[in-house]
This record gives sequence, structure tokens and C-alpha cells, in this order.
Amino acid sequence: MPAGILRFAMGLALLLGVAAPGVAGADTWPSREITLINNFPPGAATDLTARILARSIEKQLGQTVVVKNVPGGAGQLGPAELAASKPDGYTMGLVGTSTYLTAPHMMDVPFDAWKAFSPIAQASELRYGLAVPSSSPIKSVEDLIAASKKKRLTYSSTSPNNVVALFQLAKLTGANLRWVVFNGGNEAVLQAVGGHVDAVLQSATEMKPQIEAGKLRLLASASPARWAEYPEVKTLRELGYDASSPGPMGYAFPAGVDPKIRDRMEEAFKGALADPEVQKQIQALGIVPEYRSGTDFIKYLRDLQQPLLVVLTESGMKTR
Amino acid sequence: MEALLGGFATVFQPMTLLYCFIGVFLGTVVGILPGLGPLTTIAILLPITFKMDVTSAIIMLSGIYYGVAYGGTITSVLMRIPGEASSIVTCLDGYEMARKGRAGAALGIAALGSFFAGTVGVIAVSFLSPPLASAVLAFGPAEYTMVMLAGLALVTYFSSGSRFKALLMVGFGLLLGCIGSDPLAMTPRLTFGVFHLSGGVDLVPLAIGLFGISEVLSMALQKPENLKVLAPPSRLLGFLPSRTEARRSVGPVARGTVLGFLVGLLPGGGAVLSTFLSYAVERKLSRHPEEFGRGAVEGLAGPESANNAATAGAFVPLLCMGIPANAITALLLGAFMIHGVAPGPTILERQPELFWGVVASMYIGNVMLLILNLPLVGLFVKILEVPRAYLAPLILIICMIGVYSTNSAAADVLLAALFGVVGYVLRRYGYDLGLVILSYVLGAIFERSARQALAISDGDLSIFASSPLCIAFAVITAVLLAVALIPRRRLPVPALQPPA
Amino acid sequence: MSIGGARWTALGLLAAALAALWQALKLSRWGFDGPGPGLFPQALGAVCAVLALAVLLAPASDDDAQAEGGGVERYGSAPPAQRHTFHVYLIALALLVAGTFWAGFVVTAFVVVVLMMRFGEGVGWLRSLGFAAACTALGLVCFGWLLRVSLPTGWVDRAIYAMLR
Repeated sequence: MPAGILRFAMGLALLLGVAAPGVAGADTWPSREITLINNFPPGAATDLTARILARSIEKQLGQTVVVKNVPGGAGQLGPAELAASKPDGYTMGLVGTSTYLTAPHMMDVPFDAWKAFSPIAQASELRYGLAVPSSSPIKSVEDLIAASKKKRLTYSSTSPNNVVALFQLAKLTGANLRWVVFNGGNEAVLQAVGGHVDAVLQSATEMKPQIEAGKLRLLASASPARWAEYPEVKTLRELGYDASSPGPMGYAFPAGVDPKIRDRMEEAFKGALADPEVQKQIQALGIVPEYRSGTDFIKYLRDLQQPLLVVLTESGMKTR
Repeated sequence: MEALLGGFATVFQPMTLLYCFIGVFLGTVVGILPGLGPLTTIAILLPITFKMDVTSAIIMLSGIYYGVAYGGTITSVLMRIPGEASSIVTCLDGYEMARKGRAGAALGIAALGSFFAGTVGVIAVSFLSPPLASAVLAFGPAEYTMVMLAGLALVTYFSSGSRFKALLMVGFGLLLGCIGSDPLAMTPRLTFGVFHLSGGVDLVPLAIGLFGISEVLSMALQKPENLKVLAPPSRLLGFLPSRTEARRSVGPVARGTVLGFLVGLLPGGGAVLSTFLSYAVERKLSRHPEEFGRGAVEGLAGPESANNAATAGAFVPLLCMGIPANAITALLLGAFMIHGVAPGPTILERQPELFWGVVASMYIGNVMLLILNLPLVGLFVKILEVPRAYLAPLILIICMIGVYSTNSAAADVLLAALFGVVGYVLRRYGYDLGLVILSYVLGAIFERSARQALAISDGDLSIFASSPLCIAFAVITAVLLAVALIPRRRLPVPALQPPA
Repeated sequence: MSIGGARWTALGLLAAALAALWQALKLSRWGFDGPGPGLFPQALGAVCAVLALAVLLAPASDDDAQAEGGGVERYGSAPPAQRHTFHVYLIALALLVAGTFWAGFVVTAFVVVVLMMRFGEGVGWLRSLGFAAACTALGLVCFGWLLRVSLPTGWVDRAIYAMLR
């Protein structure tokens, strides 16, 4: 009897000892479930995209990928948790322009984005657009600029990232535009439809239903490329204004992850974004599935530093 | 009308009915569990629906949403723990009714009131959607400010204890709402350097701490025998209210339904606000205001109906305009979009079968929920008979899970625990905690909207009188304040005193 | 005049209001075309401080203290056995928080339940341990697995998940 118990105890200890820390070698990765940190509450477009991607990656890697929502901290609680996680390849999280470029100038974040993360890949790009309520007399971007010079015009949007295009536009043309900050994309769009602000600059996801219903008039795409849903609407750049808003969204590991693991995850993302089913679902949300490798993603972000800094300084949001 | 019947035809297929049932059942369960919200559940189930057709998917996910409004009542009445934010007000009188041995009746009235409100709400959605949807558009920042001001004025109807203490609780509720990122400048406010607070204090740890955990602490001090006395004799038809209770509930249910539906329409309004408003209105209109806080059936019937009506109301802007009224409907919107449907003004022309299918499912869902909830009342009430030694730890663990799971943050559990202790102390010395929650919700929206309005008007204060809606709510505020100042008959005993 | 619990509470609220005011004063009162982040909190902090002071200094009547109980049991009038339970519950609460940060769900839930039952309520060891195990299992299965809710993770939790998957 005692020998049996002893053997059982040893077996249990062995089992726990083996199971608990998890073998961290790149050869056996992934040997257990992977966590994907999303910085917004369930239901936000980024959350839905994450879930779509998670399913595809699950199939490729043969391990469950669980989306963990860590909202709060103005979208930085998630990256903070990611930065503090073990770099064993089992925790990855969403990163974008806010983590790298805007939040560090607006609050005290407990990490240095450029050093704390090992970027995996860019997965999507949000498309932004400038629209006015359909009842408005403004029919084009030129009209908007002209009207703003007579009387200050207001526009609604949610974050500094979105409004880069309009800040640049105002600088180039002398348009008198005031950004009114709203709490959620849908709210910002609703206020424009109701005519409480003169225009709105938000992402395609939030604006599509209203444009389709004829309540909003899309004046221009505020992104480098036109919207797939409205290919006849030009971009601000095509109209002659060097203005556009960035919208890259990507994923990263905490810094220090084995490069082999990172490469394999990058492959998985590449595969996911090449899947037509995944593309279709993401596009249905109004988001553009766009893949960039980790290194390209970081380079893209670095190029965006200057324009975003300008927005922050001029809007008075830069406090650090 | 034929379109609605067509909708019923869509729903009355075995698989669809099954999905509807799964949805409302899950919703009830989620509603019962404190802190666990419909948002997470819907999000988790969403990928599973990818393979389903869009109508069934939406029917199931919607079922979760309005099922929650039913389930949240149960823990509120039986344990004074709000299963959902919209059940916080139920903790006030519903729990007191349970203490008086009327738990069955409380749950029964809540279920029946919820059914009435839910069904009427769906009828309103079916036939009044288009005009109501456009009414929603008229609310800009200035209008919201005035609405919130009226809401804050209603605060005076809540407490009959010391005026200073009531105002103090309102003030702290407003301060709690300020913690976090400034809505306009996005700088952290009142965070004391703690990074976790830069996202603000979430409603869940606040509500569960102030109400649930403080109650567990209070339970510790009760003599064990006293607790057992609370269990009512469980009869098979124990959910039937007495004649008086039924009669007194009719008005509150009707008023709660209308009020809840209207408040639910407004983006940012929602179930929480509707319950508090209904409570305040009922208290003001009641012939027995001193009973509020001690088991007044009106204080249960009104808010319970209001929150179900508000849930139905939230579907109007979603289905008709593609505008979500709150985070949950935003998620449902996302679900629609992933399935390739964009709800909005065109939905009635392009995909009427989807619209009517969802509406029809809501009728059926409400019936299912009534059938689910009523007979089980006897079972639920048995929970009260469980000795405190088993119940208290279970409640505490469930609270911990509920709080932690919201943001996956251990810091939230700390907050909830702190609020629990503070909540106990404040209640002990006669402070009304309901006011904290109410002003916390209202204050955040009030400040944000006021500043947005001033940004639009370039500092010009006249924007707050610029539309008929603004003026209407300003008048309501003035009236409320004036009526509150009319001296009331001095009540012999403050309303929150426990029975001697 | 001895400082009763009511006055300590009011004092606490005063301190909280002043702390909020202190933090709020770090913010700007006026932005570039409207109220800034600081205006509202500063005003509130000041008002709350004044109100708390009023409550603190208001003459207390004994009826007031008796009557206002908010429906909770009073620590002062509870028998020693119940006070003991209260203390144990407080300790359990503290352990609950600490455990959520560092020990993971399984260990925390188990210890808290056992503590409350065995030491707070005087229930026997066997039933305490049994119920604790049941609660923990229920939490893991219903919430962690069926509902896919995120639970605090610790060494023991990870071991169990590894064994199951």
C-alpha cells in the first residue's frame, strides 16, 4: 500500500513537473493553447477580426488560440499586459499606431513600445473616409474647404490616429476645421447623420451602413487607397491633397521570443490572410485584410511617427 | 402584418426554435451569474455562428441579450447581488421582499412584468420602428446634456435620509465617473499614478463590490438562525403574488414599460438608466413612499419591466438604422456584418425576412423565458434555505469570477473588495449606495456631452437652448427640482431602516 | 464628545474628497475652447469636501445613529461569535484578492472557501474541504471550460489545463 501511494505520488509529481512550466523549446511549440490579447471589449471590430484570425491560425498550428479581452487604459492595458508576459511564444497581442505612436505621448505607459515587443506581422488596415450628412449642401472636398473658411466646421472622430488626414488637409489649405472627440465610432457617425456636427471621419466599418442607406455622403477616402465598396470615390491624395490617415493593425510577441517561433507565427498569419474565407469575413466588416511582415510593419510605423506627432501637438493632446 | 406572420413562419422551424431556446437559456444563465455579461458570451459564441445562416445566428445571439434581463433578477432578489447592472435597483426592494418571506412573489412579479414589458417592447419595435429611429437622430451632445441633467435632478427623489449624505454620495459617484481617460483630451484623470485606473473604474467591480460583497460581509454578522427564517414556505405555486401585490404592480409595470422603452432607444441610455428612472418615478408616485427600500412591490415591478423594455428598445436603432445603442448591440451589429448583412434603413426593403424573423423570435423568446423562469421560481427560492456557511463562500467565489472575467484584471478584484468594505461601512452609517451608481453612470455622459456641445458651439452656452428637445428637458429638470423642494410630510422613519 | 463610527466615516469621505481635489488640481481647468479636463473634477472635489465637512460637524442625534442602518447588520451590536465570523470573512476577502494576483484560481478558491467554512463558520474539516473542492471544480468546469471565461492562472491551474488538453 505505501509503495503504491509512493509510486502514485512520484507519477503525479513527474506529471505536474513536466506539465507545469511547459516545454519552451521551438521544436515542440506550440504544445499548448496560445493567448491572443485584444485591447478592446468584445464586439469591437478589432475583436471580431481577432476571432476570425484566431480560428484560421488554430487550424494551421493545431493548437487552440484563445482571444483574451483586456480593455481599458485607453487601449493600452492590453499592450501593458503583453509587455509583461513571458516571451515563450504563448502570448501575443494586438498593437497598432496608438501603442507605438500616440499613447506614449499622452499618458505614462509602463513600457517602451519599440523595445518591449517583437512584432509578428501586420494583419489589417482600417480604411478611413470623410463624409457629410446627405442633407448637407457640401458636395465635395473643395466645397468643404471653401465653406470652412467662411464659418468654422466641426467634424466628429474618435482618436488622433483617425484625424491625421484632416489635420494635414487643414495645414495645406487653410481650412478651418474643429475636431470634436467622441467616445465610440458609432456614436461619432450617428452625430454626423443627425447633423450635430458638419462632417465625420471614421473607419469604413462604422460608416458603411449609413452611406448605403443614403444618410451620409462619402466625400473622399482618407486612406492611401480607395474603398473597395465605393471604388468611384477618390482619395484625398488623388484629389491633390497630400493627406491620409494610417490604420495599420498588427500583432506582436513580447520581446525576447525565440526567433524561430516568431517566424512560424508570422507564417501562420500570412497563411490566414491568404485564405479567401478569412478575407471575405474581414472585408464584410469593412476592414482591409493586409499582410506585412514584422519588419515591414515596424518600418511602416516608424514612417508614421512624424505626422502623428504633429496631430498630437496641434490638438493639445501631447502631454508627455 | 403579413410580414410579421411571415416572420413567425421563419421562426417556427425546429432548428430555429432550438437556437432561440439556446439563446434565451444561455442569456438567463448569464444574467444570473454576477459580473458575467452577455457581451463576453455573445462574442465567444460568435465564431460558432459563422457556419449558421444569418437569421438563426442573430436569433440566438439576440436571445442571449434579452434573456439576461430576466436572469439578473434572481440573484438580486435572493442574495442582493446584482446579476447584471440593470438588476442593481432590484437589489433594493426585491431583496427586502425576500427577507419578508415574499421571495416567490417577488420573482413571480418580476417575471410577469418582464414578460409584459418585453412583449410590448417587441410590438413597439414591430410597428413603431421607423419613426422612432429617426427620433433618435435628434439627440446631439447638447440634448444629451439636458437629458442627463434631468436624470441628476431625479436623484433627489431617491433618498429620504439626510440630504447632505445623499448629495455626498451623488458627488462621489460623479467623481468615480471622472477617473480614467478624459473623454476629450484623453489625458489620465484622478488616477493617482496607478496605470490600471487610466481606463477608469468599471461598473462591474463597483456594483458587485458595493452591493454583493458588502452584503456578504453583512451576512457574517447575522445570527445563523435569523438567516434561515428568511426562507419562505415553498409551495408549488409560491410564485403567485397576493392580490394586493398584483394590484399595486399594474401601474408600475405599465409605466416602467413605456419609460424603459424610450430610454432604451437612446444610444448611451440603456437598461441601467431605465431601471433607476423607473424606481425614482414609482417612488414619487407611490402612496406609500416610506415602504421603498423596505420591500415595496412597486420598487420591484417598475424597474424589472423597465429593463426588459429598454432591451427591446435598443433593437430599434440597431435594426432600423444600423446604429447600436450600447456595446452589446454593437456586437450584434458586427455579427450582422460578418454574415454579410448591413442592418439599416434599407433592411425593410432588402431583407424583410431577416427583420421580421428576428422580431418574431423576440416574441417567442419572451414566451420561452416566461416558461423557463416561472416554474423554476420555487427551485430558485430554495437557494435561500442553504445555510450561510455554504452560501457565503459560494457567492464570494462567483463574485470573484464575475469581476475578474470582465477585463481579465486582478486589479478589478482588488477594487471590488475595497468597494465591498467601503460599501459596508457606508451602508452602516446611512449612506445610499444606489445614488453612487446612478450618478456614476449619468455623470460621465453629462460631462462628456457638455464639453462636446461647447466644442461644437465654440464656447457659446446658448447651444443648450438651441432645440426643442433641449428646452423640453430643461423644463423637466426645473419642474423636478421645484417639486422636490415642496416640503413633504415629515416621515416618521427614514426609508432605509431595517424592520425593527 | 467621543468620535463615533459615523464621524470617522465622514472624516474618511472628507479625506477622499480632498485627495480627489489634489489630483484634479494637476489638470488644466480650461482647454482651448471649452472646459478642460480639470474643471469638473475640481468642482466636484471641492463640493464633496464641503459636504463631508458638513456631515462631520453636524450635531449627531442618537436617533439618527440608531435609525440609519441601511439594512446592514451592525458590527457594534453583534455578538462575539458573529464578529469572529466577520473577521474571518475579511481575511478571506484579503486572501481572495492576493490570490487572484499571484496564486491562480484553483488555489485561491480552495483556500478561501475552506477558510470561511472551517474557521468562520465552524464547519467540520471534511465538509469544508469537500465543498471547497466542489466549488473549485464547478468554477473550472462551468466557467473556465464551458463558458470559456478567463480565470486567474497560477502554477496549479496551468498544470491542470495541461493535463486536460
